[in-house]
Amino acid sequence: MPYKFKSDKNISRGYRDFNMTFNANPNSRDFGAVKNDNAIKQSVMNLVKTAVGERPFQNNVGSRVTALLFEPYDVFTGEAIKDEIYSTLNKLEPRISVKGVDVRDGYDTNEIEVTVRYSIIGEQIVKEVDFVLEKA
Amino acid sequence: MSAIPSEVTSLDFFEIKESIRSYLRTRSEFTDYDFEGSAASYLLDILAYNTYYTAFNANMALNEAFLETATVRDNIVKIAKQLNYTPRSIKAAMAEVTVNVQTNIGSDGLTFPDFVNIRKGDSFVAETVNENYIFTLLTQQTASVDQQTGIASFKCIPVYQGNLLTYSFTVNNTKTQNYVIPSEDVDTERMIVYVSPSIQSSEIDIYNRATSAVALDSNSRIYFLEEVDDLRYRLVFGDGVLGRRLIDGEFVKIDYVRTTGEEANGSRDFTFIGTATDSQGRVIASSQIETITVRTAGDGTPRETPLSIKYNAPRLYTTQNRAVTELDYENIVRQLYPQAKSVVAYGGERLNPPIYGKVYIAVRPQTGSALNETTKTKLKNQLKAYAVASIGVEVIDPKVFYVLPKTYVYYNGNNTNLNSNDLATKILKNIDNYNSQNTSNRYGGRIEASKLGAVIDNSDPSISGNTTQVALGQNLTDFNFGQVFNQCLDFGNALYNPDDYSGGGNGGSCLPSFSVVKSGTFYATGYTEDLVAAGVTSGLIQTPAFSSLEQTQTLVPVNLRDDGKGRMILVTVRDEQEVILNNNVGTVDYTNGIVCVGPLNIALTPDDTQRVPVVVYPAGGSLNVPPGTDPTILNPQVNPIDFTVSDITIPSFDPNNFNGFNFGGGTSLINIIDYPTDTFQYPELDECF
Repeated sequence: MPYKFKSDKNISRGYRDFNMTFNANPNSRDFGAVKNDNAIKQSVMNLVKTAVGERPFQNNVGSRVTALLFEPYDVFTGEAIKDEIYSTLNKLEPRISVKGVDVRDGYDTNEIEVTVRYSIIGEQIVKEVDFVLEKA
Repeated sequence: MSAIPSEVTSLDFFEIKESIRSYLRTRSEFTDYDFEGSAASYLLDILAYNTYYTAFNANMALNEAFLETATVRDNIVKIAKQLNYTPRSIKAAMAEVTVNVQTNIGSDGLTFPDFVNIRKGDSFVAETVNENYIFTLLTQQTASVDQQTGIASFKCIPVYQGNLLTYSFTVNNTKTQNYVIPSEDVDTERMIVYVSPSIQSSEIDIYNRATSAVALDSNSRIYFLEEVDDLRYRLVFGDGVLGRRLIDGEFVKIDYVRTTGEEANGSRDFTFIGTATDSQGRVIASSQIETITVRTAGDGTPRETPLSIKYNAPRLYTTQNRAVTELDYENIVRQLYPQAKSVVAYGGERLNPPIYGKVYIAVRPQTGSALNETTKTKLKNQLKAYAVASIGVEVIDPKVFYVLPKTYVYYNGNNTNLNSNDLATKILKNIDNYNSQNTSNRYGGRIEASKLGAVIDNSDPSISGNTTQVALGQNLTDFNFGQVFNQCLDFGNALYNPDDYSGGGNGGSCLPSFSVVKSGTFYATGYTEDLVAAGVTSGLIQTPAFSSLEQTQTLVPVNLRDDGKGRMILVTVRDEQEVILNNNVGTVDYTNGIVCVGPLNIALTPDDTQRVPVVVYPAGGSLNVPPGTDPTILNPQVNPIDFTVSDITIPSFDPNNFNGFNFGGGTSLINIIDYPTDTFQYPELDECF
């Protein structure tokens, strides 16, 4: 029996991805899904937090941000982290256009707060994603 | 119905991942698998990696299950075990020494002691160029004392490199017992197994190694030997049907030598460092002991390599412990004499004239060019146990075919950083490798110039092609200086017949203009400066001719070559012109490749060896290897030509083009091949070029 493929017009143009938490939905008992903005936000964080070489056979996926967290922090390291996030997302996340990256040092808490501002390709609205980078 | 991942045979990570991805494309639940940052992509990685890992593991595991593809030694050994094949262990180097001991006058003050003992396990130290090695005595030696001189002489006692060690077991039938010798460097040939009823008992049986079940019964004192994991050897005793079964409480003692194998070959200058005691129990001082090296250490070999096991196990299995075909003889001789570099066996019926009822085995040892007579006799006697009755075995020295390739290699200088010399070295290394890989099977009985050409072509990506031709060489050896001799060299292959190219056809009116048989330079009795000078002046050299003042004259260097019409002639060079000294010193059979030299009297050779090299130019690029012949590639000449710089055309064969391939180079000398300059000698090392 030949395979049936759904025609393009029936496929949603939205994005739909697994939820990284893999929490079960209490009703369906299936794992959760994230959609559209949230799927992209999750992807941005994944890319930044993945170290280069971590993915099997794909040495070009990921960023050097994790390694930079172990460098003595100064303004140059901050810039390097910013550049790294910027170039990683430009290279690996084609769905967004990065508008800006802010890196704030939390000296007391040994962590770095990152804000990435981006717009989804085809949309005008600039969105933000905030996350904290810690040595783990 | 949804599509399913279809790439089930792939061993590539990305193909597997794409296969799963293409499956997800047919589903609507998730869409982000194409983006590297998505969680789906991470999951796909895990799935693909897991699949890849399992497939790789299954592939490797299955590879290891077959002799052909297994790579781990332990697995190869286990498969070979199914073919009743036990890999050769490391073998200790053996030397022979004579020990002279000067004894002291006995306690009675009148006579010397009756005898002197050297105990089993006592050691000698010997030197090689780099290191000192310990050699051990495997049996106790006793020598009687000469009452006149007080000297006890131990003549030619064999000593083996390594330490004599002992390992013992007490038989316990209540559990499964493994009699494994706890060392990986055991020489199994030097192993002695003793079994006694108990640890205290003085009653001892020596058990021998059995290799087949033939002639065994329930009382046979035997053990089987097999290699187990990590290069250890295990003894398997009889089960009460095939071989005697060991009884609970019996004591098994194994004496073995732990050795470093071939490293100690060549050790000499032995010094005794053990204890010699006389019949009165007195220890003799080391200053009174003299050790003489009779035979330098040799015959040490490394353990059998996995590659060798893969080669030998199925072949020995085909012999079924019987020597019937030529291959059987070769395989069994390899087993009996592992130091053989190459073994060629052939029936006498293949000889010309045929000799029926005999098998000839040509064995080349790893070191040296020929076996000594003792080893030959030993091999011959050992083979009797395998040979069919009424078939005689002759162990002979192999005849060597020296294959002399000359190659012009075209390469694109823009595609490589190597210069001409480096490229030539790279090609030579490849040829060397090809040569060493083929020593064991003699190139399968054929030497193909096209195969050699392919080896050369594959040496570097910048090589576009090559023109390769081979000459064949052998030495004239059956002569004594100053005595007339005749010898025929059989090259086993048709030679170019220069007469065919002479213009008038075979037997035509034009004289052939080139020569396909050439010898090295030597000095022939009677051919002196005086004679040559006179002959050149008068335009005629008398043949055979001798100077009247022979003893006062200097001999001229001479060469042999063929005249293109089937005769060998003796020539020399005077004022850059060739002078024919004798126009009949042998014959050439171009069709069968037989060169007969003589009668001829060789007075001297430049290197004083009784060898004169003879080179021939065989017709065509495919050479047959006749029975009993051991071919080796020798001194290949490699001439790389960068065709982006110089566009030189090399003819494949044009005997009348003196600038072309294999010619002497533009002089007026008649040449197809150059006169050889050195006698041929079999390369001792694997890396011979």
